[in-house]
Amino acid sequence: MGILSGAMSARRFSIEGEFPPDFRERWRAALNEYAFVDSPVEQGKEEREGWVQIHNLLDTSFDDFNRWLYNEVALFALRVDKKTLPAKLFRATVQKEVKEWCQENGVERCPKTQKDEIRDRIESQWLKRCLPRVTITEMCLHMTDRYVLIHSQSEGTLERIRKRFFATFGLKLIPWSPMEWLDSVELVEQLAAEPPSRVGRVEHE
Amino acid sequence: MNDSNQTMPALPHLTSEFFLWLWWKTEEEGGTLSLGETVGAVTIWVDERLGFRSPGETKVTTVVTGDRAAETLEAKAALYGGKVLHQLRLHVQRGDREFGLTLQGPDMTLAQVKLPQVTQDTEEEAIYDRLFLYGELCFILSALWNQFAELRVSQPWRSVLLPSIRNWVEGRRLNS
Repeated sequence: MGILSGAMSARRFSIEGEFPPDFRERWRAALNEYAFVDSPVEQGKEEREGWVQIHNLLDTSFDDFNRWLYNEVALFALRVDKKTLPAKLFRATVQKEVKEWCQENGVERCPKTQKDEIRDRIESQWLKRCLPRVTITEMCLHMTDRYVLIHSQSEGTLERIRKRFFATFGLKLIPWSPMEWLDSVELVEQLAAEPPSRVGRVEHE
Repeated sequence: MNDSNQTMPALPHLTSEFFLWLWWKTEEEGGTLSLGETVGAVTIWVDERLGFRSPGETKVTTVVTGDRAAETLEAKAALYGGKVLHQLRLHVQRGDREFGLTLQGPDMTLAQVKLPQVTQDTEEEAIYDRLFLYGELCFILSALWNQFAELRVSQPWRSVLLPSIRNWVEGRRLNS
């Protein structure tokens, strides 16, 4: 559901910065450089992120313009992978192994270093067996009108994408304002100076 | 548009009042609005969701949903009680194309946008169609926003429109 099909819930940003004359070739190189790199089996709990094609989250090459550039519009997506363990099951397993260690060693309390070692070993084993949770956020970059649509309402996701966008293209994404839709600067200034209208029993704000 | 527009966020009361004006206008004028030669006539009605917040707050505290949500007493009561619109679900029709969308917040985020169904042979054609339709929706909304802005800074807003809106909220008609 998103830019390609279904209902769209996108936030709009204006692009700040100059496009280089050969921006198509540069952006292709930049997208490839910052593309998603497949997670190794031994990936820990750290997140991995990178650009993927909007059509398939496994397509990480932007060599073919026809797959991401549509006239004046570029479409791509940010993929973020994160491995998470079932917290309750993990905690119970650690407790059980700690208890077994205490019994084997004839002590009542397990030292912290030993407990940490058990926890780290189990976590490492489980992370190798576990598949990452994958999230995809679709994006649409309109070159002529110089705006970007990000298909997300999450402030955290939007901030992550703004950072990666800057790292990739050297361009800043500025939250769009409906004031940009107004036809004249005079109207913007006049409207901005208008105080709230009272409609109900109390002032608006 | 101008570069200076880009750095100026819309004040929260302006978008709330725009949503209110849209709601009032669609009820008072039967939903068909004339937006000049470039956009033409569009038919708009408030769909099944209105979200209200208290002034100065950012979270929605009152939601009215369901069929004919805009006609309920609860919706008008929220306004009368001093709450302001934060979310407005709209149905927009231009020619034979119908759009659904929720306008929300000071930055007028377009959420849950339903575009007219596109049936194209290739994925590429479908992408072009969806982007074109999204652009058309923004084109309509920007015309509405400009029309509101022109009215909002005019004398008739204070002398005619605002009193009419207040009476409409309170269930009274002027001169009745």
